[in-house]
Amino acid sequence: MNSLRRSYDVLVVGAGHAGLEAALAAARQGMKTALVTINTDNIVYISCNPSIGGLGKSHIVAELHALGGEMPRLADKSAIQYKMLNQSKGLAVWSLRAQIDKHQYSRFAAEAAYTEDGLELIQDCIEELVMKGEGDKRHVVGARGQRGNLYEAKAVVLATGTFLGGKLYIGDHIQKGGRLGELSAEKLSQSLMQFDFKLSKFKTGSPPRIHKNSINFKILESEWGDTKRQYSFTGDTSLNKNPRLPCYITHTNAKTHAIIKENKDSSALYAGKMKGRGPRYCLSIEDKIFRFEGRDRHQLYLEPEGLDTSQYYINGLPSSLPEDVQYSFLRTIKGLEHVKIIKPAYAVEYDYLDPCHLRASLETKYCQGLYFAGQINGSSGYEEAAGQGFIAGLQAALKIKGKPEFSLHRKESYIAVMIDDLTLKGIEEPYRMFTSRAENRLFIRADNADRRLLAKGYHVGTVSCSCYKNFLKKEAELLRLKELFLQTKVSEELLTQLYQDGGLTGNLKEKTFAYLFRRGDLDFLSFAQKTAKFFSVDEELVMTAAADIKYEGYVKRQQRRNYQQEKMLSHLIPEAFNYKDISNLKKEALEKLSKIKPKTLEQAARIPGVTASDLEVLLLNLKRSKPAGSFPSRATQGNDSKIKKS
Amino acid sequence: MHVLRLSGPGSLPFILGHVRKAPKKVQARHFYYSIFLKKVADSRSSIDTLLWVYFKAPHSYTGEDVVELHIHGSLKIADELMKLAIAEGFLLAEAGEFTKRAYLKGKLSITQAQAVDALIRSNSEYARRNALHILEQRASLGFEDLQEALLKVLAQLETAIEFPEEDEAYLQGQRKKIYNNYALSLSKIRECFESLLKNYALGRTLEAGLQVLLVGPDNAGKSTLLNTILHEERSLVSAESGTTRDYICESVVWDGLPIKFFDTAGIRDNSKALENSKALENQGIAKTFSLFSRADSILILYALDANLESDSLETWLAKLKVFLENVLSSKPPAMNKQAQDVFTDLENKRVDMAGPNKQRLPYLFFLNKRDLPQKTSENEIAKMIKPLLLDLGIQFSGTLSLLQEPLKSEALVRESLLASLALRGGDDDGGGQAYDEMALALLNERQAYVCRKIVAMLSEVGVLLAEYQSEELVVEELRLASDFFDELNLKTDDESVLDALFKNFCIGK
Repeated sequence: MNSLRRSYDVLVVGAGHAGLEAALAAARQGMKTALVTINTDNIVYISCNPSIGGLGKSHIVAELHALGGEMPRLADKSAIQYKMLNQSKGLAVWSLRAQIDKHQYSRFAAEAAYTEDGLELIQDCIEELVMKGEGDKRHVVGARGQRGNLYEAKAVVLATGTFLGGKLYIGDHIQKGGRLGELSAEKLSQSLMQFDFKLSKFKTGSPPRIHKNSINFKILESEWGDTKRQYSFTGDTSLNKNPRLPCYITHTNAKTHAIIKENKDSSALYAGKMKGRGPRYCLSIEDKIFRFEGRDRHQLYLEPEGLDTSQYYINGLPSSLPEDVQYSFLRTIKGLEHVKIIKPAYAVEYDYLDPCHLRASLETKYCQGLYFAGQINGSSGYEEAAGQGFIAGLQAALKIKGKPEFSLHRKESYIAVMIDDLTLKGIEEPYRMFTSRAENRLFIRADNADRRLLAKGYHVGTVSCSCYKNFLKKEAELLRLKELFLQTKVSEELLTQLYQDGGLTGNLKEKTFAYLFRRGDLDFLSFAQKTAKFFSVDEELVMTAAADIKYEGYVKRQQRRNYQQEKMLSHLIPEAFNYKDISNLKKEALEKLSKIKPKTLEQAARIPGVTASDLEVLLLNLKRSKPAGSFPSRATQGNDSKIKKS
Repeated sequence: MHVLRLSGPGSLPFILGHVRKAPKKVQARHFYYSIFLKKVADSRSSIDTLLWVYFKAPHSYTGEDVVELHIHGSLKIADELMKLAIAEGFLLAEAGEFTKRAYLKGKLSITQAQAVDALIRSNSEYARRNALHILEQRASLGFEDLQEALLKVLAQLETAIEFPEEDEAYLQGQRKKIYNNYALSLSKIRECFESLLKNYALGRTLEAGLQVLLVGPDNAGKSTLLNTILHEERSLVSAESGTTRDYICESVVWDGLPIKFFDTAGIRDNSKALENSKALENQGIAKTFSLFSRADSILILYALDANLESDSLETWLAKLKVFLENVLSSKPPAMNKQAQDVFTDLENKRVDMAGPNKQRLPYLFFLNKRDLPQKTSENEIAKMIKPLLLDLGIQFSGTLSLLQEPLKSEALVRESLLASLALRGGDDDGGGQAYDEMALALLNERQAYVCRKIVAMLSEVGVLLAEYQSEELVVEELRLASDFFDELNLKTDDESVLDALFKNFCIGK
């Protein structure tokens, strides 16, 4: 065949959030990298909600920032509003969400890709993986594109998103595609299946985009977000000159619900046309109405998609109803009485692989050098994808360079929590990050991501030296502040000055700042702001110091527990361990353990379906299989019979 | 007769290789009568005639092939057979080996294995019945329901954290109300645990036996009563005051319930008690007082004065009142510091053992009609003292005539005592929850420990909620409590628990 043949270190398939991070991370490790995508004009195109961050997700963004990922920079450059969620709760669960201009975001992403040394962009659709060897020796050697081109690579990262076998549903209209108006990757799924990978389907939905001029903003409540916030730790806001735009709040009502109920049979989701499972937390409006019968309304956000576009995104309204039905129910909603739809809501179904086939490095256990990141692993969300992409790209590069794996533990990072959950627990529905997934939630916070991870990034070479030095300076200042808060007593005069709003009761005389920060009824934000002003120090640093003080006891307790558990569960399971020899394992546990092959008892413990009693049995048998130990070795020799007299 | 039990795949071949005319096809759970042979050189000599039965895997105790040999009651024969088996590759069972194998084969749950342990060690009818309950899997404590209730609160808190925009508006201004609701739900869970623990404490007492303290002035007939109960002359009975210096402890079993009676040096009238208190360094008396803190029931015996005249009745009553008040205070009026410490220490230990809900002790009052003439009728006196006792919270249990009608007296004491104990189970703080055998059944020492932990953690959550601390902190504490629930359901990831459990067993089970 007369086709092009090119050679790279790392080949990344898909230029979404995962693909971009993977390609940049690999290229920045000095790898000759190719980023192949169906359409190079749509690099990191924002498929769904025009925002970055939110609950749990912002923690991943903060970690990417600490590790030198691209997403936080892109979000800061293209932001048109920031909102800190959960400010009424403790700092550990505060989550920043940036509304972004989606065209700017894509443009800045393309710029980052095009200007990166050693990174090439290629417009092609990968259809086939090329591998060599069998069994444990099997390794990837490259991939073939639509036009027959062969891209040779030492490592391939698949970041296909919703494009892998993508199918779009609007009422009874079905079309192929990864995103409305775009193609899908059809043949790659077959290639994966030929190599014995098992594919399943997930579904997700996207709400309607409506025209700005058709919205009656005057009667809607606006939300402008917070000032002075961003993902960057440096406080430098010069990158972003965008004006701030508000979001608008409206609600569905009884009329809306009635129309949707009448038409449920024409919904692709309800008519049973879609095979894939959808997420429980991001429900289509059809689902919401049937599942929460008691609720008479659901909140909706109208979010601008950018400065130079008239499109508004209706957050909270994914649907797969026919367009005429969408029109009629939208027009029952306050402020949308004369709405005009630009793009209808649609549902998308796509292929993913049960992520249990992956190692913690996101390399598959069944082929050396083949990595997976993003929705192909069953996750959902830009941030989750970016986190995985970064890890996959970095690990691929490190492996090629013969360096040790980059290791992150779930006790120190949300990205690790996610990868750990995905690769060990497997998934039943699209996986999105929640803060409650992290056992160490009080310690792994967005505000201290740099303290947790920046040094690691610096040592693996993803974080610059100057960045690291700044961090060290900040760290010293943080320690000083903590000491200050623990020692300094707040005089009554100062207290009135710092805290006029009252709210705190009881005797506050001679109490330290630390004491006040620990109080549950303190208006944390306002007190922190005033304290920062009073000592003329950085506000965010004050909050981090205060949170450290507030959570200290809990964090220490958790650390002690971690330590004990690690000790207990650190039993190694030999790779060749035969679970079938254990007669008392439940069938489900037996299947999962044989499939996932955990390295330690700790990992085994996290596999769903493996119960405590399975673990006990496993532990006893592990001890038993050792030549010496508390279980007599003779038990395994010859006649395994016992005699007893009574 | 001795029984030898073999477990493992080699069991059936062993027996078949050693009996004369071995059956060609062995039927499981069927007794065979055979002559057991031993090979000596080329000939065979018979060792014993025996009955044997085969349990086919997995339908045996261990889940493996099991053969039981019922041999004649000679240690010599047993030894011979065991030597033969060992020579053919069998191993002597370790403590708990059979139960451990049963567990590994999935025949028993850990809870049941613990029950086997408890059954073997049970020394009272109560303990035996409780252990049996678990083995037969009849009992369930409803931990799952409690855990579900806790998880519901946890889920609500997590939802508030994870979906702030759904809940923020709702939470504004209503947070305090929602927190109060959480606190209410959780305190209900906590109360369930507290009553469980209370049951447990009572159950343990029942298992270990009840301690009954005999109290009365000198010569009230305490020793006579004890002798009557025991049907033997154990305590030294004399007319001289203060014969029983220290205390004497005797046990009986009533209705399967072990009861320990402590006959004490007693508490005398007020003036003497003061003397006693002066002499508190005397360890014997200090011990007597310590008994008050340990007793499950206090039985007061007071003698009807032989020379009681109607005009001295008031004096008699006044003396009785002083005496009873003295008993109720259960410690002397002026206890010195050191003695006080001893007392508090004992008290604390007791509270610790029984859990936090040890309630006031039940006092039973018996009037001893001595075998002497008297002018005032016992009914009249009973009528007079009843209001006095009622005021002090003491139950009037009847009049005894220990010397004339010992059997009748004993029956009265026995019935009153058992009835009062049942009454205690009926709960004195109005909860109306009767002592529940089932509840005791599943609760072992470890679970009780975990329950106490959960109670402590739920109290801590209560504090956090009352302080309106932020949701993630409340969750942190609740998660911990939830983890402890897993331990209750015997999700043990700690092998030491297992090791400790199986080591407890007697050899062979």
